[in-house]
Amino acid sequence: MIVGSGISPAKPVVTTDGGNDSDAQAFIDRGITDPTEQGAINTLVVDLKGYSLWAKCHQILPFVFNDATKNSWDLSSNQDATFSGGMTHSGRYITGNGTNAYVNTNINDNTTTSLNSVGVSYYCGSSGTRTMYHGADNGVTSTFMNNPRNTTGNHRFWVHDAGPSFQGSNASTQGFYTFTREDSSDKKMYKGGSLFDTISATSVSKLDLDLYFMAYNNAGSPSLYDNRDYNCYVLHEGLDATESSNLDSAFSTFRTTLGL
Amino acid sequence: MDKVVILTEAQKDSLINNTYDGVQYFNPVQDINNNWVVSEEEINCCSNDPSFNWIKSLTLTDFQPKPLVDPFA
Repeated sequence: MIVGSGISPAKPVVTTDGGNDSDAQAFIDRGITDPTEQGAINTLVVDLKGYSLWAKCHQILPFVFNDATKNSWDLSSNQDATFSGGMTHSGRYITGNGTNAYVNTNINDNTTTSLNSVGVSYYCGSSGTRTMYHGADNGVTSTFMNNPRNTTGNHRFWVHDAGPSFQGSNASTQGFYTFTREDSSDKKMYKGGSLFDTISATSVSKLDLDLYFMAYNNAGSPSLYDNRDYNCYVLHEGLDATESSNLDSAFSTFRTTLGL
Repeated sequence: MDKVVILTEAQKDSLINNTYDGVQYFNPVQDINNNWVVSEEEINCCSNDPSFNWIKSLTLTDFQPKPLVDPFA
């Protein structure tokens, strides 16, 4: 395990004209009325653009609202998500019931991502462990899944590969995670913006499946539901160490602005 | 322990591809005895279609899940 990249995030460029970013405003205009939430969304978009991460994001789901409709909205205006089962929308997190609740991102991996430049990030607010995976598995050749911490205290992740069946220790669940691939040979995990593990695993193929969150798409059916708290999900291109650190910083500011 | 209601096969089929609050979809799953169930959260938030009000008359019971087995372990 490698902990700590020592990379300082670049300072984002923040607009000073007093108005919101146009992409943030488009999201707010869908029905975000709380001034604190409006400000947090605008700051997040400005920060992502300042870090040159905005264009790398395929889907950004801020799960910080107190109703399912708003939590389904994609900040990047690409594809809204769909909730199924008994999900709780508490206002700053979504929480699975561990029985049947999950998120269908409605993003088909094959048509949206690149084989060797892809990643997913999210913030888990819980301390619990769970037998589950986020993502999808076609049951044949390739897997794009992860679990930050399973019941044996290990993280596991695949990024368009078929193995090896690696497990690495993760002492605590809560945190901001990025699982990403920038080339055909390695996949990487970042936690809190710092490199946590690099695993040699040759990419195999993309999956012709929708990517799920808080469960995994088991060749077309949801399996292994989560019961932990999450307040964002991002599907993006492959990110390097600096970009992963910057993404963590942007969402750290987002959480702080919302009082988390 | 999580609470659920047990559904007949026909009841399960009637819920599939329908929302319980206009946004979120029912997701019947099977318990350890292969009974079809939906969660207490779906029952409590069921407000979209009055034709689904029958679900609120069903008795909540403790969920008995199938063992969680990691197929990649």
